[in-house]
Amino acid sequence: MLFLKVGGEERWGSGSWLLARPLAFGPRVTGRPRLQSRRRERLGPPGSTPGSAMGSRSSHAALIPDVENIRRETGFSQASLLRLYHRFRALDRSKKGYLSRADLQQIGALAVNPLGDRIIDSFFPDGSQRVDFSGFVRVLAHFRPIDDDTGVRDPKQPEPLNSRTNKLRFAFQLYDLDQDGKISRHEMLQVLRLMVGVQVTEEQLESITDRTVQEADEDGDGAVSFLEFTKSLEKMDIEQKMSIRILK
Amino acid sequence: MWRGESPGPSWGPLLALVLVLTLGGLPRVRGFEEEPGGAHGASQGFQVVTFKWHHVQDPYIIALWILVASLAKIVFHLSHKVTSVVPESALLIVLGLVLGGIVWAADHIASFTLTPTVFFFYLLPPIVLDAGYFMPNRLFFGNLGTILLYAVIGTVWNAATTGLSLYGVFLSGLMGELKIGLLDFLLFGSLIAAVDPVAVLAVFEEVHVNEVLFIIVFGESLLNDAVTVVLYNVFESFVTLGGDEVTGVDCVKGIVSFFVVSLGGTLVGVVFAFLLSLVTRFTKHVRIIEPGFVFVISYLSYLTSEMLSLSAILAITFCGICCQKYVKANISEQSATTVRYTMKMLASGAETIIFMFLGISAVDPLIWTWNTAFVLLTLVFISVYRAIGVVLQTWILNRYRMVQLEPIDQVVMSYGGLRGAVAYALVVLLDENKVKEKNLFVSTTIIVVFFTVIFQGLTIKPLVQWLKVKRSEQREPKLNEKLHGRAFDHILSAIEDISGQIGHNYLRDKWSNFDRKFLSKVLMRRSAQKSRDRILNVFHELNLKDAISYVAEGERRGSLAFIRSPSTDNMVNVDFSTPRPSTVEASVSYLLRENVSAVCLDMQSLEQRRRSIRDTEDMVTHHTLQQYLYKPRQEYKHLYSRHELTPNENEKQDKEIFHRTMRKRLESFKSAKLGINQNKKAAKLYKRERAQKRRNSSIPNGKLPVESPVHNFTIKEKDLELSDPEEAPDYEAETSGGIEFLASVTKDTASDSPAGDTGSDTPLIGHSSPRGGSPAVSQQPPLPARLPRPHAPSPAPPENAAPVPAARSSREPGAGPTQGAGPERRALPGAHARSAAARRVHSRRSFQRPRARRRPALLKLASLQPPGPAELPPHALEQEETPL
Repeated sequence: MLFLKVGGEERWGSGSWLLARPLAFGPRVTGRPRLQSRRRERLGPPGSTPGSAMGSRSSHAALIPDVENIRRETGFSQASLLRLYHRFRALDRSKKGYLSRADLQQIGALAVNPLGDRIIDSFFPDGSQRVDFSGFVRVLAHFRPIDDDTGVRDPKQPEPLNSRTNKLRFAFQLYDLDQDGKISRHEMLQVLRLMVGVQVTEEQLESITDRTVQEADEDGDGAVSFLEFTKSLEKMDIEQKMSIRILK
Repeated sequence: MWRGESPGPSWGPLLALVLVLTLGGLPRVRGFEEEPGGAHGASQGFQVVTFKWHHVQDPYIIALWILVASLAKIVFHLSHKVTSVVPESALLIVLGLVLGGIVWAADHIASFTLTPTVFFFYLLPPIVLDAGYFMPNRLFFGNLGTILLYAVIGTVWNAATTGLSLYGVFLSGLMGELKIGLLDFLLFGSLIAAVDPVAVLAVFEEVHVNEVLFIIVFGESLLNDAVTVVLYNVFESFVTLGGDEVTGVDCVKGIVSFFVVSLGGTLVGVVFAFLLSLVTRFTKHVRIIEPGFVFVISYLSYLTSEMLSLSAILAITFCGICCQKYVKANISEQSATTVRYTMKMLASGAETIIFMFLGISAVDPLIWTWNTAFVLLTLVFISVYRAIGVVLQTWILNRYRMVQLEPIDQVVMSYGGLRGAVAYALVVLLDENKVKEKNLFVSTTIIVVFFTVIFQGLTIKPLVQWLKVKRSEQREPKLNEKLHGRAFDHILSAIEDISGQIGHNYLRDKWSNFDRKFLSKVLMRRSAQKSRDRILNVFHELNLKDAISYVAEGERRGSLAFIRSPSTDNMVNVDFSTPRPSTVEASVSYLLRENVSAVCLDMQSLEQRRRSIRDTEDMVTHHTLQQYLYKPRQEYKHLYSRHELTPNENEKQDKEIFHRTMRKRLESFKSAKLGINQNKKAAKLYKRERAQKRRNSSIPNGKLPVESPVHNFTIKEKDLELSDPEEAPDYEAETSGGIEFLASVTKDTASDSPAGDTGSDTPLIGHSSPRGGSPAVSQQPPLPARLPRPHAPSPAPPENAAPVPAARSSREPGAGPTQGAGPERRALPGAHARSAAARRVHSRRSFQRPRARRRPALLKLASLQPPGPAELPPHALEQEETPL
């Protein structure tokens, strides 16, 4: 039998942090309100967050500036938006209300991602130096899984950000540095260089580049247009490959 | 320990003992409770050589078994085909069966079985400690809720349903006559219910499932121990009491005991982790036994909680989980390596032995009682109820989880519910007097274990593959698809990182605040506390792992060839690590060597590739891409691996990418902030590089042009610092050697390379300067580009002044690069080419000299604000570098 007494309740103190979380099942959303309100107190009054009511979920989503528009545009659920907003705030270290390149660059894992910097750049279109929450979410929205119930969409509405074409376009603009709508041989080479180990010689890289471009290039202009890009990947399950299921 | 009941003949010659292994005579080697046999009667008078088999018998046998098991592993891995299909655990079980069969055939007695004592006291702790110590904490705590639900509710569910269903079938009479009641069934259910950490790890190791799924199954198997222990104990005591005596109070006590056992075990683990961290904080002067503390104290946590009849597995798991951060920060690099390898070795060895002895133990006719219905139904019930349990719980969990568990995950989780040695040891522990059908339980458990480990272990890999490749078209993907597909993977993982896929930021923030403010202060060495920047941490860890895995390689290739190799990255490296004095320590020198060996590899493979370069068939291209495209994170970031310390390739990859990224960022930073015309500068650099190349025309250049700007300095630096691989261990051996090393690197770099280029590296120093505690990456890091500039030594604070003369005095004037001396500097570019060898000697010499006093200076240097007004004009830079 092992019904023995080991200490009293109060002694669990130092260990209980470990077990304090069992009640929050994994990454969870519903537990946010309480946490959020405390977080806000800690952070002080954030200038960019209207809405003072606390304690309920909706009021928290209301913390996010312009939440309805963002939601309509990106298709994120309120819970996801809230979560992303937390993430946004966490990344924004100096609490300035927007993210700079440096904020994103400090994510350690990105430094070991060969395309990390390009992706960071994609958050800052047209040479801007800051990205606000809606811009942040708009980029992420490309990676939202495609909804199952996309039956008939209003043709007048713009294509959702997470459509196949937009996913592809996102990838395309990572390659297309000069934004001329074509991936030139040079641009392709640059990407390859990023993605291939140093063991591969320059000659090899160039030959690979040539082959890649040739393979996709249909009109023979020595560059890959977006159309050609799409075509070369038509057999690929982009919808699945470019979606993150946590971004619902 | 190993039971030896056979009164076999005694042994004479040692040779026979060796033969025994192959001839199956082992059973006749008896346990130590036996009296020596007749052979010893022959010894009369003084003998020059005495043969004292009994003296060494037990340890000898143990050692031999371990040897056999280890050799078996070698044999298994001779064939890649076999091990890629059949999990090692299954092979070991089969080997055990064969060995047991041989032994039994020779002796008709089963001499060696896995006893609970050996298992619980010696074999299990290393495995669990290993699991805890290398636990990916963030992931684990991110999914703790899920894990706990599966571990607690899931296990109770499995136990109850399996036990009750078996009882139900028993009542229907299908099993025939058995002397068991409901409680026995429940007892059996409780011991068979728990998923076994050893088996799960052994199998999941080889099945590459996604990290969340892995951590859930893995965590569950670890944490369900508390439930198993409690259920087992409760039902065992109930069985002892007899079914009628059990009152409601006992049941309540049972539930209470669950909390006591689990929380108590955890607490014991945490307390010991605290102790361990604290102890390692003060081991600076006893480096040699440092690793020992980790093992001894963790083991004590296990024993302590066993003594208090708490959950020992929980205790040692949490001991490992909690201490890892502090221990890793506190102990020296070498100790950390020792700990890692020893832990892996112990765990892997223990696992090997466990599975082999599971096989051997099964060969004992005495324990076999067959009851077809019981065995088969058990198998069916545990599989079915596990599946049902998983589905039900997942359904609940998915309402709360951000990362949903998809049906495929559920299938894998259900199917991955392997039972193993814990169940076996528990069932062997049963008291035959109380549990009448113990033998039936034992044989059923063995069947279940074998079935799950061998059959499920064999099939889970194909299953996972099959489930994932739902729409597998068998066609060679086009080049574009391959390339872009890989790019998409990278993009995806980057986006995941940006969106912070594993939530819980609030609690984590809270905890890390607490940790930073209090715990780390108490548990970490002061030097270790200073510099903990996120990105640096990532980089640092990469470097460490990297370095460690490459040391061996460097050693093997210990030649001077690398000195000349145009590897690029050292400077970034070195400077980057600079502000992490204590933890980096020797790693920098490791690092350099690492780079070096990679470069060597490069050179060789380069030659080979040159030959075939004309052969640019599609196939080759595909192959190259296949081989050298960087793998996306998901594919390789294996969380926990018992058998492999570090996947070398991936470490290397990470480092390469990291360097590129950093260099690019620095360059763009420079051009943005300093207003230098990048193109112009790049052209200059290019020119210089060409010149350099001409000088070192023998160097095969396998690197990418992107990396060019820094590398000529790197070469010099290597010339200076890493003249000889054999030297490296010397300064590594010094505990505080790393920083001196850094210091000299920085100095040498500073004097060697004019301001403009030093700038490309040094912003990192500024940015990660430990001063000020908050490691925020400022948008405009200070421009330390100018700080080490020799022309302006004056602004250095007084602390800086002291060490420099000290450093200089260790060199002959003029021969080596010196800092802050104008005239000497004039001569430098010329001297560089000519007296490289001389300087090598000097720098090496100065290396080994302890220069502890330079540390503050370096830190100061690192955080110095730029004094001077502007850059040196670019042309100055070029003049300096013109070869004479």
